[in-house]
Amino acid sequence: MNVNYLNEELFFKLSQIPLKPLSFAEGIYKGYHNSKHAGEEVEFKEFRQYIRGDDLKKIDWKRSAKQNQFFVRNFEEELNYKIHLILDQSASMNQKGNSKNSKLEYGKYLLTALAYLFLKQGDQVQVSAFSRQLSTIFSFNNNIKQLLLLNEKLNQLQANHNSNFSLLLNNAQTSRSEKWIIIIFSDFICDLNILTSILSKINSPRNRIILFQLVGNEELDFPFKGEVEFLDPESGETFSCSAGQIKDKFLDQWKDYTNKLRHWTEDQDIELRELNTQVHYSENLLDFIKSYHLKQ
Amino acid sequence: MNVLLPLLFIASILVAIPFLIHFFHRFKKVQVPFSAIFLFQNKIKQANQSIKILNTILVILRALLILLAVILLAKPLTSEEYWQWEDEKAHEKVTLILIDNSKSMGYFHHNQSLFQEAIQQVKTLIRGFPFQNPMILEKLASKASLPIKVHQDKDKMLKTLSLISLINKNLDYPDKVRALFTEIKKQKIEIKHIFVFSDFQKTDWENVVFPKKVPLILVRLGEKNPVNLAITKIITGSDIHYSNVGAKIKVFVKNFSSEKVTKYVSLYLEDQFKGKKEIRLNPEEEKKIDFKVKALLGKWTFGEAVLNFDRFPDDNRLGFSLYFKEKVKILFLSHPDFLLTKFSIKQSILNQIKKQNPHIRFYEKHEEEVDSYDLIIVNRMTLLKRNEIQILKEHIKKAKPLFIILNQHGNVYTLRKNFKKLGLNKELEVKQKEKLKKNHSLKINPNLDTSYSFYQSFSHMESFIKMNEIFKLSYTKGQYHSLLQLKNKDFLIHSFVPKKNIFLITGGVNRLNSDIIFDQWFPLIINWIYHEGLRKKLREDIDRIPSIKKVSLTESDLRAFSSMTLKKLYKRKRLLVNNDIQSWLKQAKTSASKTVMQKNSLPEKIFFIAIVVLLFCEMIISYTPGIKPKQLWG
Repeated sequence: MNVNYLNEELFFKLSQIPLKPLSFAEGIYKGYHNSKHAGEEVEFKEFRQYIRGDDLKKIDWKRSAKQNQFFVRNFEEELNYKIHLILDQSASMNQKGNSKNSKLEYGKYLLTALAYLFLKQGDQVQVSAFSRQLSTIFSFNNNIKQLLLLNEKLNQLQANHNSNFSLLLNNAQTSRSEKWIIIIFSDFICDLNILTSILSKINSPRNRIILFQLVGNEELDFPFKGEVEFLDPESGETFSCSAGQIKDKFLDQWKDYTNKLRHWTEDQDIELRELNTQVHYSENLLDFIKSYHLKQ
Repeated sequence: MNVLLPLLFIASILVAIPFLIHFFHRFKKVQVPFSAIFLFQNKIKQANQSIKILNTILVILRALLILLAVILLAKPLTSEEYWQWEDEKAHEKVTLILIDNSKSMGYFHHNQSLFQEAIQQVKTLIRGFPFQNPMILEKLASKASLPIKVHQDKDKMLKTLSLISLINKNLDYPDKVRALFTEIKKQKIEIKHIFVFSDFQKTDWENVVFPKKVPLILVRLGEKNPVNLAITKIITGSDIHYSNVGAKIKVFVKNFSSEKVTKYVSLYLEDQFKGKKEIRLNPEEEKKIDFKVKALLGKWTFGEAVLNFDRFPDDNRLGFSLYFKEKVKILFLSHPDFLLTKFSIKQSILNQIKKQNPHIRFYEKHEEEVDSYDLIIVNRMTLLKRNEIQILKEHIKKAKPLFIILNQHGNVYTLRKNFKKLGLNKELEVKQKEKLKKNHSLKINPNLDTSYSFYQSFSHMESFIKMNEIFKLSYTKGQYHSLLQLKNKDFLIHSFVPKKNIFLITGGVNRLNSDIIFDQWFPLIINWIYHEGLRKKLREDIDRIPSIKKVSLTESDLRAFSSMTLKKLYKRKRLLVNNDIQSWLKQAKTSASKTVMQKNSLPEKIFFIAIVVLLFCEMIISYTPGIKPKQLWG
């Protein structure tokens, strides 16, 4: 059965709230900066000798006078930020808990809403999904009408296999010429060392990373009781225990894990948002967007 | 540990439930997909191990708690507390114990008498009672000890018990019991229980009346029919038996019970074991067993037949006596001219007593080594020798049987002289010798006294006798005889001197009358002389012999009331008939515990149920997973 991830009511609300990508780009820590260059948004890259045919406007007269030669400023074109929405489609994202939707579904809704938001503003959005492989689901330019196609693609997406975060390194976000806003939708339940090492490689001044950690009440509350055999859907590993009696210890471990992740992301200037899947995604999203407006 | 309600230990099966639930849940655990499994690191794993151990301990504790609740419900109590159910007035009520100490309780059963068994059971009862239980102890076969003593002290009661003994007489209890209860009523003693320890033989129990509202416990001792066989009589046949033949002893045994019985009967002669035979009897059947014995000669021998389970010291034995005769010695002093007579007399003797087959020895003449003879037949009264006369004299003195056969030989004088020597001249006076010329019909004088048994046999006889000569003898009063009537003249033919056991026949024997005489008269005479005379002598001896012990059982001694009969007899709702006081004490304890339980049961039951329910709730809660696996996964 096809699900409609296009929440018209939410989209209407979102349309009332402008969201500039620079906010994302600069982050709440660095503040908002206007570009000095009118028109095209460019960024100085290097000086080089004048070559016949270069635009005379680009000649840097100050340097040329010093060097007694003609030098031109070479600028990088600063395009609009590219938005990369990456959805974790590993088996663990199938977890639903007490929520209405599984983490994957929740991620899809969220992803779709954000995609709409960015597309409305004229940003380029790329949607990928990863588990064992990283696959680009959709890539479109400023065409909001193609959300329907996105919806269709998302419907085909199923959670399976393990989540291989190292795949994120294969992405073009490493390119120096482009600026990306990478938003990753996952539960980020994996070895912290591996995760942080991968994220640190992706993280650069050119890229902005936002992590939406989707967690359910099974992680937040650990509501299990009695003799339970826990099964890792990705590795198949099992662990039997009397759940009620290890609850406290698990919650301590979870808190410890999330704290470590939070502290690290803070250090790395990566934004980490823990979203409880029991709360409606629209609420979470609006809260997120409002928080940016408040910071400005 | 003593418990009042041991049956409640069945509830300890509930102890298994925590284990069952635990293992059930362990083996049927819920599988939950969970992505954060990597967070179950060492700390949690270690904690899990500890928790598992803790859970095991918890299960054991739960089981122990249930067990504790069961034990508490079963009411473990000390021995004194067993009896704390007695009401406040218990010490005022008295237990009455009646012991049958009559003769029949001397019956041996399993190596002790019924009376000894009764004493043991009474001791058990006394010891089993609480220390403040007043008691009255009375013996049924003894006179009531008035006024009635109520014993408070158990030790004193036990000492009194040891002084009671068996009395060798039957019960006289209807009156005794009546008097006892009259006295109890007079002294205003309230009876709590009545115990009767007896074998309940079938005599007069119908007339014994107990107070109706008081619990009656009859402790029946011994078997239902302890002695169901008895020797009813012994027949030895003739008093006189012969050594070479032996005596046949017929022992009659009767089975008084309603079951088939097989037992052994032993025979003793002069305390010497002579043999044992098995007897099988159907219910109510009487049979005889034959024994053949031989014993010492010439004297009375006493014997006993015994049923081989002599649990009564003097029962199931019956005595008898026998006289064993040596060979019969007959001295036949025959006339040399009458060999035929000698032969025929011998034959007739042998023929007559051939059934008894005695060992008979005929002596032709007196032999010095023979002290005396059993019978002397003289056919030559006129030709007696001196030693023969001597032996005859002694024989006659002892009133031993003497058979004199006269004939026509000899003279009157010699005959008269010999009779005088023998001391018979008064009874047998020889008158004359008369000649008879023709055959004469021999008839018994009808005027004679024929009441004597011998003559009754002869009285109808009529014979012809042909004699040439005949001795004419006179007769005295008291002398049995028969006379030949010849033309109104009486000629003495037979004469019997009763006191002296002498039989005389006069007249000759010829061809015409020999058959009659030999075949009829002689046998009768011989038989009569021998047996009657000898037996009479022996009977005189019998009178001098002390009486033989003849102890036999009456039917009432053998039959006891069955439990069912006793119950019907007393017709009570609360009548207990058994043979084990231990079981009664246990029953009393159980009923006491039930009373206690009834007084205190509801809170305890609620407590027990509450514990169990709480435990089960706790177990269910702890074992139930908080989230269903189906809900967790999309």
